Parts: sequence; C-alpha cells; structure tokens
Amino acid sequence: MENSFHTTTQKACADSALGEKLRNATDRPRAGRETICREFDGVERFRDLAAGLRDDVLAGLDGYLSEFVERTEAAGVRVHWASDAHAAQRAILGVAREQGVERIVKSKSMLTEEIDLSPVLEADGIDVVETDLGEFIIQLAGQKPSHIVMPAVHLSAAEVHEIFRHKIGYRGAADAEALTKAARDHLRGKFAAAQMGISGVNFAIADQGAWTICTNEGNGRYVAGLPRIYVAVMGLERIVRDGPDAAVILKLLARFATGQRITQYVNVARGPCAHDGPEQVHLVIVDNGRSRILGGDKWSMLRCIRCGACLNVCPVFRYIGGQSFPGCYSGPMGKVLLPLQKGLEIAGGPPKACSLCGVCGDVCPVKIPLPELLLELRNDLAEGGHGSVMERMGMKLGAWVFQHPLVYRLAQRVARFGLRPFGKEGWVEKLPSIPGEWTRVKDLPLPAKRSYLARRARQRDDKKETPNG
Amino acid sequence: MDKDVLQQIRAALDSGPLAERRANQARSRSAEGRLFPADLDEAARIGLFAERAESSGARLHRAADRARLRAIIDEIVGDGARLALAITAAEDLAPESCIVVPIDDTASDDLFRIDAAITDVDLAVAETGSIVLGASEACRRMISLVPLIHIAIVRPDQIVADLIDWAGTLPAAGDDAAPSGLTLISGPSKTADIEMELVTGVHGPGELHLVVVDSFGREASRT
Repeated sequence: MENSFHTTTQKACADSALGEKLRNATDRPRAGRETICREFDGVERFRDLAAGLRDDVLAGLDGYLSEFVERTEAAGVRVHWASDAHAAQRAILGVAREQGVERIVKSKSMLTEEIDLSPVLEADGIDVVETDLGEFIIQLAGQKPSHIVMPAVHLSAAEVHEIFRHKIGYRGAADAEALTKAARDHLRGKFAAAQMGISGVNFAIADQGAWTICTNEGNGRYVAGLPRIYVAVMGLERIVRDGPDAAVILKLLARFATGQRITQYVNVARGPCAHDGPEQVHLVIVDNGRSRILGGDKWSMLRCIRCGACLNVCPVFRYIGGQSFPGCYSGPMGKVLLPLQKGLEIAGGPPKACSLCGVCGDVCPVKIPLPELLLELRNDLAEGGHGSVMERMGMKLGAWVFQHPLVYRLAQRVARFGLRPFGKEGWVEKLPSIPGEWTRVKDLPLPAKRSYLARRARQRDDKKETPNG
Repeated sequence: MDKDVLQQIRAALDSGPLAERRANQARSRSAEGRLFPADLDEAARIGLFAERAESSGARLHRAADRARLRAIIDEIVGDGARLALAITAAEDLAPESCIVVPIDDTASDDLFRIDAAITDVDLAVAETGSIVLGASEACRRMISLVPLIHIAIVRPDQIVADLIDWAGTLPAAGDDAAPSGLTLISGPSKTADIEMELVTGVHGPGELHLVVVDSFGREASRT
C-alpha cells in the first residue's frame, strides 16, 4: 500500500500543471485567511478558546450526544446510530428502500465520501446526484476530491467543458460563468424531482437538538429543504454545547477555510416541517473508528472542524493534491486522520509525506498539534516495525555515529569526498545500491566544503586573536 | 445499537487521556468570542451591517419610509416579473406591472417559475452582514432560494451586533413556536469551484438586495 501511495505521489509530483493549479487555488484562501484574521483582537486567544470549547465537548461527549439525541428526537427527527461505514450505508439504504426513493440529491459531505455511500445507493438502482458544483464535476468525471473544501481545483475550465460536453450534452462556452450557469440549469431539475436529500453536518448543537450545514452555493438549503425526505449524516464528534459555542465555531470556520467571515448560507435544521421544509428527517450518527481515536493518545485530531486551512499551507499538499491519498481526507489533517482510521498498514505512507515544517500546526483554528501527531505516527511506524529492515539499521547506525564525535567527524569526511561524484548543482538526486533507497524519495544536499563545527572552531580562534574586533 | 456506540464513547473517555478533563468539568466561555459589544448603538450597528453585507456581495438600500421602499423595489424588479411575497400585509409592495404568485407549499409547481422574492427577516447580524430567516407558512426559506433575485426588508431594531447575540436568540429546544429550521443568509449564492473564478447565482439568488427601512408602518407611508 505504501508503494502505491509512493507511486501516486510520484505521478502527481511529475505533473507540473497539477502543482501549478493547486498552488494557485490554495494561495487565495490562504491569503484570505491571513487578511480576515486580523479582525480578531488576537487570533491566538480565539484559537485557544475554540480548542477549549472542542475539548470540553469531547471530554463530555457521551452526555452532549445523549442530550442532543433526546432533543432532536423530541422534534420529530429519527436518529440512527452506526458503528461503522457498513452500518451507516445500511441505515440510509434502509430508509431509501422503505420510502421507495428513486432519486437523491446530495450536498458536499466528506463523511459520505468516507463511508463510500453513493456507490451503495447506486448499486440499488437509485440515481444519486452531487449538487455542489465541484462535487458535481468530479462525480461526472468519475474522480475523487482533490481538496476537502474545493474538490475540483485540479481541473481547468477547458477540462470541465469537456466533461460537461460528454456527460450532460453541454454545447455552450468554456468559461467559468457559462459552465456554472449550465450546472445551475441542469441541477434545478434534479432538486425538483428528488424524493430524498442527503447532507453532512458541520456541527450539531446539543441543547438545541439542531444542526448546521454551511454552503456558499445554496445547494445545502435545497437538499435539506425541498425533497420530502431529508437525511443528515454526522460524525459523532461534530457537536457543540449550545448556540453561543456554535457562534464561536462559525466565526472561525469560514474565516480559516476561505477568508470569508461566514459562508453565504448557514442552514440550521431542527426537524420536519409542515410547509417550508422536509416532511421526514433522519439523522445518522457515525462512529467508524472515532470512539477508538477518542480513547487513544491522538484524540485531539477529533477537534477538527474540516476547514482545510492546513491543506492550503502544506508544502507537500500544494504539489501533490488530495487524489494521491489512500482515502477522502488529505493534506496534514488527512495524514493524521487516515492512519488513525485505517491503520498504519493501509495508510502508513501519508505521515511520511511531510517536510516537518510545522506550518499546519500554526494555522489550525482549533490548535490540533498536527506536527507533533505526525512525528508520533512516524515513531509508531518505526516502533511497529513498519519501515524496512535497512531503514531501521541505517537509523541505528546513524544514532551511533552521532553519539561518537570522532566517528562523526570521520563520517563527515567520508561523505564529503564520497558524495562529490554523485552531486549535481549542490544536490545528490540518485545514489547506487542501498543508499539509493534514501535518494529514491529525497534529494540530499551536498555537504559543505568545510563543516559547521570546523568553521565555528576557526571563528573562535579568530576572536581570540583579535579581542577588540 | 445506540447503547453500543455510547458505551464505547464512555469507556474511551473514562480510561483514556481525557479522563482528567472529564472529571474537572472545565468550561470554556464562548462569551469571550465576542467581537462587538451587545450594546453597540443603532447607528454603528446599521453601518457595520451595511459594510459587511456589501463586502459579502449583497446590495444595500436605505429607505426612510414605505413609499421609498416601493420605489426601490420598482427599480429592482423588471416589468412582468413573477413575484413571491413572504411578508405580511405587503401586497402594496409589489409593483403593478408584476404578477404576484402565491406559494404556500414547497411542492408547488410555481416555485421554479418565480423571478424574484420579497421577504421580511427575523433578525440581522452586523458582524457578518447576515439576515436570519425562519421557516414560514409562506415558504420564506424556499422562495428566498429559488429565484435569481431576493429582496429582504430589515428594520434597524432587528440588527444585533455580534453572532453571539444571534445565538442568544435561538429558541429553546421544545419550544413549539420555534420554526422547524432557519437560515442565515450573507450575500448572494456564489462559487469559485471552476479555476477559482468567482461566479454568483449558482443555485440560489445572484442578487441579494437588503433594504433597511426606517419606518415600515403602512400609516407612515400613506401620509
């Protein structure tokens, strides 16, 4: 599996057009976040507050979930608990079958990607249509999201034009405005005809028995408001205590995601409605590994509010995008969450796709210590014997060399002369034999002509000679 | 099934690294997340609301009275437009050249044929330039989504300063009078999903007009 992650990332790295699109697309929300966060009187204070709110809820999660479920059931919502992806799929398929549903409209939800929902419904003969523009495009193209907030950033307008031409018989112009208009016209028919709408949940509000869906396009409002049946799917950790807590999280979510103060629409669902909403509302609460993560040493990952800020700043993500990852999550949050959910055997590659720069930790609105978690996962990989024998022996040898100054100095000399024939413009890109395993994934800088220690020793000598200089 | 999941959460919390925090019942205070004081004066609230809503792409109008409001609506809505209204005793707001389409059910065939909607609001939030619309018998939430133009009428006293103030107005759970759902609207429908190019009017309105009306009373306009 690690090899396949290696292969997909290599391919992504080689695609220079992809990298350029990713960096263009992530630059904007990144700059937007930096600008808008100046409005906070001390963004650190806000991040501390938000992290505290998340931790309070996580520490009392059973109580808040019970309170929420009691209130939402009292409002007429039918609640389904799902311990894993299969149980969630079965619950939703069960409702669809029982109600004779043939057409479903969906708004963007990473959780429904996580539980692989659409293929199961489609296999049952149900027409499932994604209605977020980006998701709609990648559904037509048969691809997976390249970014958790902006799923189609890897495609150009020309590529979207081709996809629309082939899949929905589009014959118009190839600019973003015309393509968006075409999607609007196409999807209005789908909204009107659907018997069921499915959305994710940004966060549930425990004391209200309500939950929010944030969108900019308005598709979340259609999905939750127009079809006769509405099904919301939530991860069990996505809950806040009360309205004011919800307000704080809302203040941070869009500001960190896209640099907006709030998304254009925040829909607050509170149950079925006689005339201006769905007749029947279901809520599926999904565990799928979350309760296990909660009891482990990396529980703080459950603070995540899925804003995507860490993706936009990650130097690795900005080259490879999300499609290389072994799951729907990507970037720093995906590098931590995927191995926690799927295990290191399946998702051990992503934690290593990291330069340890630490920026992801600096931009997280709920202060998840992403750099530390990534290091711990890499430690788990080594301790669990997931690395190659050669790598482990190499590391042991390295540790021994670093602990013995004389050997270290000797090794420096050997490296300085030994690596020179392989160097090109200051870098070693390819080594033969066993050391080649290292250069397969990383370039090595050529050692300096004189080592730091040697230069320092010399400076000290110079100082001694000229005490007034 | 629910017992299983809840029990697993309990077990994870009691024996895991969060056990101490759980015992201490620490309580962070969301009131510290306030950006504007609740008692911000009315002129400042209106000014902030206008500035923030415009920066989200909404178009702001100010009307001293109902006559001016009618004139503004007349300018926005084209001749022969099909209008949906979700505002009480407001037939006089529709320009004479328009057709008023009554919508009392979201299953109505007319829903997708309306060109513009005029609604009132429950509340407005200055910090984010948002308006709040609860579900209503006139299908206020759905008619404010479907057409390309949405005109919302806001009274100055409806504008609160901070999002935290909005949260404080949420009806208590179990309150039968509470709407079954509500929506915060902050500007027109928009996307940047194709090459990061901003396009408005994706699924919802491409134009959101907010009219702050100082004196909305019928009498005031007729004198």
